[in-house]
Order: sequence, then structure tokens, then C-alpha cells
Amino acid sequence: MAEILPPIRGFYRGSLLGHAPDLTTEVMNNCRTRGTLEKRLRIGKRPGLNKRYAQQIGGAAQPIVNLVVVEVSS
Amino acid sequence: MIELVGQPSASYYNTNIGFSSVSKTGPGMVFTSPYNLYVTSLTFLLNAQTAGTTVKGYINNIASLGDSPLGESEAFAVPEDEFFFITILFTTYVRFSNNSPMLLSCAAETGHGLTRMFRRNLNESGDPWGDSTYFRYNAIPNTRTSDDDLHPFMWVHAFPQKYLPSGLVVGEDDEEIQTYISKFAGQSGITQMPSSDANYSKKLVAIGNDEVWYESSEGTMTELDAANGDIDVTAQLQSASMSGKVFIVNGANKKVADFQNVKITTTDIGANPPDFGTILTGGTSSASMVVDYVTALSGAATIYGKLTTSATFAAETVTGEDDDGNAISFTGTSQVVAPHWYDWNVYGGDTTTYGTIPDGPTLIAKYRGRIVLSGTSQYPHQWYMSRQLNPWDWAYAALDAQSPVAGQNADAAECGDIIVSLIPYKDDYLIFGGVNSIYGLFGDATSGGETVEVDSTTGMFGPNSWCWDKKGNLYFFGTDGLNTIDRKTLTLTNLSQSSIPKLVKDKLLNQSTYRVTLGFDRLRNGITICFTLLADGTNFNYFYDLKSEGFFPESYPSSCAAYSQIFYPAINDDYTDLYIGGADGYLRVFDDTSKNDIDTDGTSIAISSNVLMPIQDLNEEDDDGEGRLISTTMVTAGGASGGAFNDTDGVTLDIHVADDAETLVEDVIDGATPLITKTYTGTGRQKRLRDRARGKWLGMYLKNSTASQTWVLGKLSIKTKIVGRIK
Repeated sequence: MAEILPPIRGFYRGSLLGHAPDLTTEVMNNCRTRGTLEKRLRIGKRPGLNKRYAQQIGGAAQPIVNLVVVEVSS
Repeated sequence: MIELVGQPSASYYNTNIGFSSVSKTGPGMVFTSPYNLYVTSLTFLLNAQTAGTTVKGYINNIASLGDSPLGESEAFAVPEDEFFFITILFTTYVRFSNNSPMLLSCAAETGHGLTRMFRRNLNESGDPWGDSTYFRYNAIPNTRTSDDDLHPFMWVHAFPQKYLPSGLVVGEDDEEIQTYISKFAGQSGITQMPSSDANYSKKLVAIGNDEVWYESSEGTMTELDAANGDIDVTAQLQSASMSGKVFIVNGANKKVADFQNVKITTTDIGANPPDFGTILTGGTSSASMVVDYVTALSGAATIYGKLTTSATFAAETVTGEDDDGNAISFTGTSQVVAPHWYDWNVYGGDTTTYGTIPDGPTLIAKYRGRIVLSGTSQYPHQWYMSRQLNPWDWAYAALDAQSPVAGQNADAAECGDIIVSLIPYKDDYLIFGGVNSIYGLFGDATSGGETVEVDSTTGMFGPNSWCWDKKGNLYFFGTDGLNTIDRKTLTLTNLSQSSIPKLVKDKLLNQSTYRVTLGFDRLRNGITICFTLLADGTNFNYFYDLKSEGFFPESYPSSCAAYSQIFYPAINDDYTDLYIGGADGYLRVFDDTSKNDIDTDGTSIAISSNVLMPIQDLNEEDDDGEGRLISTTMVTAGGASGGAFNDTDGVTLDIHVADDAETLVEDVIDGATPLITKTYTGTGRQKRLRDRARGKWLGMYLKNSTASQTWVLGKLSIKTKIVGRIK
């Protein structure tokens, strides 16, 4: 049996199709690498985008155009 | 390492930390948790009265009380007749199923004991268990949340309020409660310690729909009402924080969201107005403030300052002494606490002394204690800096070491390109991202600093197209792809040139229609690069993995498209994460436990994921030769160590073959019908697939587009043999 090593070096479109370097792929979407107990990288579906705050900024479905963090001394 | 699921909350009377509900019953408490908790210990404060009583801790499913307990501790002998803490360690982990009410109790093993004592309490006048004014509980689950995690641990306190040390007011002072809990957990008898090592707080501020919102308490964003409609998000907008304030530039609008100062107002500030940094004192209250900003130097004025006393300003006479020794006296109103919202102007509106803030800036940054502005339509090559630690002083003519300064009147000079982005690196240098070049200002502009061209082969894509990694290396998306600048050598390297050389061209990226944002995800050691069509949130994205140095393409629902990003290192680590400012006004994070993207209305959207495994030449010895796939063995995996990744639910394997590699890849891209399809479910080694395939090139394509499913590939192996020439 021969193991096909996962494309942990990600996406590659730098050459003719079918000639991607080792550990890369020419077709991929919504996948990321994940570390394991054995210190080897695996590949799988990316984590989902989940709401972190219940409030909708601006009270409407309009983009959040700017984010900043401010430190306040007590 | 123990991971805190929750923290003591301000609402101590109803503290349900890590639990969705808590209620008392008989000698114990019923907890319902949204998590799968594993309980290994309980800690109770007991008013034991009989030394030598043997007690045990129990966990029961509340739905089947009377049955054998799900778990119980070793027996424990009550050491003395006074009340004391008892920590009961269970000999085995007891699963605390999500949303299944569980009873945690401590009871006597034999004879009279704690059960009786609790019951005695129940029979006392006032019923301390039933009267919420007597009994309080607190629970701190220290645990991980998935089945296979290490170090499950849970810690529960229960104690009547009457046993709290004198002087503590439960529910009114959260810091006291945290201290109290810490004392329980550590050395007993410690009373002379600081209440906290943190002398600051942090707030996340988000801007959208012409409104400014801020984190009013952990987990809650609240609108800064005064800002409503005062900005225009259809124009360019940027912000920078300094000294507890957020400075916002928005073309014609220059605003301050002040989360630090208190303000008092007066109808007449008097003959000697306070200076920046003047100390003012309330004549009646003895409250004191350090003046930060005043709106006018004569007549009616508003004074903003940092309160330095626990006493607060009342409506009273306020006095002080200005920098020239003149007495200050005026009648002020009672103080109003932050947040405040006001126009950003020079100190007291005195343009003679403090100059003028440039008109129409669209770029802002903080560098060496100065606010830096640029991006004005009149002078797009120009940069401007305020006085150090004084964002109200823009009089460039002062020319002392901390003086305000602008590019045209400093030795450091302008950078000769239209400035697109301001990127400060600590206090070492300030990068000016230009349209066609990258410049750096090294050192301080008024004290020997100089401007140097870093690169003239690429420009900056947009104001937010950059981020720093943990080591201090700069990553930015330029006009030629993703670049990095080494923090020490300032050497520029294009990272996408070899792997995605036509990224900009193929995607028809256009600065006027796309917003490109970068965010360093410290938790996942990668950079999220988001390309969002401003008009409708259409997007494509890459996660650049700093460990493998690889690009991983991603697509998000248009409602989740990134119009802004920031890594928020919150004080409460629960909120530390890379935040995506979404197209629909919601703040999102990449949630390792979430198998879907969450839409505006809360519905789950399936993530369509796929990858073509590196394609295989089935006969490497002969370019005219073919091979045959004999069998395929797959191992599907689950969560990673230390994380909370879900186990594989299912993944489909499509097997393609072709005579040449290019055709094979095109077949996959075009969605051609595979020769073999097999869907695997669950984790672990899967049954060997013995379907055969003959060809020159072999492609194994993994995919899953099912809602509420995820997958991780553990291992994929194939058995092949050479079979002959291509027919």
C-alpha cells in the first residue's frame, strides 16, 4: 500500500495543470490543515463562521466596515 | 492545563457559569449544562456539626432519582464540628450530558450526617435553601467540552451567604467575588492582596450602518447612541485608539469616541481656562481629574478629563491652577461618565496655539505616541502627526522634540507616492503603503528619523490589506499578490508569486470595487486574506498557513463576507479570537466546533469543502504505460489534540482516471462524472474499497457539502500495479 500524502502545503496554480509540486493541490476549497497528537498535519473541512455576539451592529443587515480595540485604564 | 469555560459574572445572585440553569433540591443542586461535562470533583461548604461523620458525594440523573447514582466519591470523614469546605473527588469521570439535568449532592454515608444536617437547615426558620436571600451558590466548571478531551475537571462551590466573611457584599462587587473564589482555591487566610493585577479593561468597537457600537460588558455590544448618523460609512472610514479613546476619520467627519474620561460642563470657564494636563478639583466633592480636552477656552465649555478619585464631581465650584500658575475657577455640572461622542478638534478650538487638524483625512494610525493622519484629497502624498501623547495639538511650527510635524516641514520628508495605508510597527518604524511603492519612516520624525524607500516594485492594495504576525513580520496584499516584509531586514518577499501567480489578474481584482482585508489568527497561526466585492459581499478568501506556508482557498456566504477583521486579545480569553466584521452586521469567529456557517437569521449554511489529493502517475516507469488501482483504504479522523474539532461525520471519495494529468485535473474542476464514488461515515479505519480503476493518472477527490457534517482525513492509501500500455 502507498499512502497519498495530503496537500498540506495548500493550493498551487503556478504551473500547467497536473504538475503541482508535492504536498500541494490544484483543486481545493474550504479545507485547512489540522495538527494532531502525532504532530503530523491532516487536512479537513474548515471551521464554520459562527456569530460571537448576539447583537447586530447597526441594527440592520449592513456591513461592519471598521473594527478597533480600545484599552481603558481603571 | 485546565480550560475555563466560564468566569464569575457580575450577576452573582444568578450565577450559572457554564450552566443553562441551576436550582436547589433537597441536599443538593440540580445543574443543567449546554456542554458535555465530565465531573471529577465537587466542593461544598458545609456546616458539619458532628466530627467523624462519613460522607460521600453523589451525582444522579434528576430524571431517575432513587436509582443508583451515576457516580459517587470515596468516603470522607468530617474532620471537625465547624463548617468547612469539602472537596469530593470521584473515582471515575461522570458524564454530565448536555441539557440533561443532573443532581450534584453531598450526603452522609451512614447514620446521621450531612444529609440530616442539610435537612435540618431546610427545617430552619427562614428555610435557607428556599429563601434566596440566604442561600447562594456558585459553580465553576473547569472542563473541556468534547468526549475525548483530556483533563476533565469540574469544581462546584455551594455556600450560604451568612458564612461569607464580613464586609463582602455579594452581588454588588464582582471583583470581590472573584477574589473570594480565588481565596477558596488557593492558600487560606490570605487577606492582604491586591484586588486585581489588571488596571485596565478592553473594549471591542465596531462601526456599521452609520452607527458606532462598543462592548459594554463581556459578550454584549451596545450602540453609542450619540454617534448615530454622525458618520457616513459609504465614505472611507478608519479609526485608531489611543489613551482610552477611538479617533475616527471619515472624510469630512473627524470624531472621538471617548471611553476613558468623565465630562463636566460649564456656562463660563472663566478667565484662566485649564491647560492640557491640568488637575481640577471639585470644591465640595473633592473629586479630581486630569484635564484631557476642553471644547472652548472661554465662555461655555465642556471639559473632559481622567477621574483620579473615587469621589465624583457634583454641581460645584471647580478649581485648579494652569501651567502659568494662574488660578482656575468655574462652576461646573455634575460629571457624566463615559462613553462620550464629540467632534475631534484642536484643544479648546484654539487654532492659533494648536494649529489645525488636516481636512478630510481617510487614513489614521498611532505611532510613537502620536496620531498620524493621511489620505486627504488635497495632499494625498502628505502625512501629518500630532504632538506626542496629545492628539489635540497640531501646531507644526513648534519644532520641539515632541512637536507636531508634517511631511513637508520635517527632515524625514514626504514619501513621493499617494499614500494608501499607514502601518506602524511598534515604535520602530512607520510604513507608508503607496499606490506603487512602499516607504518606511524610521525613528521619530522630529528627532533624527528618516524616510526610506523599502520597495518600488509593488504598491499597497488598500488601507486594510495588511497585518502583523506574532513575530512582527508584516504581511500585506499588494498590487502583485501577498507579500511579507521581514521585521529585521525589511526584505520584501512575494509569497503568492510561485503558487498563485495570476491571483490579481485572474480574479480581476480592482481597488475601486473590492475590499481586501488581512487578519492574523493567533489561535490558528495563519492569516485570513479576504477579498470582498463591496457592492454585494461576493467573496473569495485564502487562509495562509504560517506553519506549512500554504494557501488554502475558502468561500463564505455573502452574509458572512468580511468587510473588516481584527484579532481581539480580550481580557476574558473566551472572547479572544479573530473577528470577522460581516456583511450583515454580525461579528463572527471561526468556531472549531461549528460544522456550518451561520447566516443572518441564525440558520445553518452548509460548508462545501473539497480537495483533490495529489494526483498519482500509475506507471512512472513508462510514459506510455498504465496502471490499475487495486484497492483503496481510508482512515477518517476526529479532533486534533488540545482542540475541540469534531469527529468526521462523512466524506465522499470520487475516483477519476485519465491519460494525462491536465485532463484529469480539468475533469475534476469541470465536475465530470467520476469512475468510482464512495461515501464514508464515522471515524477510524474504513472498510477497504476494492473497486478497480485503470488508467495513466489517478485522482482521488474528497468532498462534503452536507449541512452539520465535517470531516478530517487521517490517512489515504492505495494499492496499485502496472498493467500495460495505454490503449
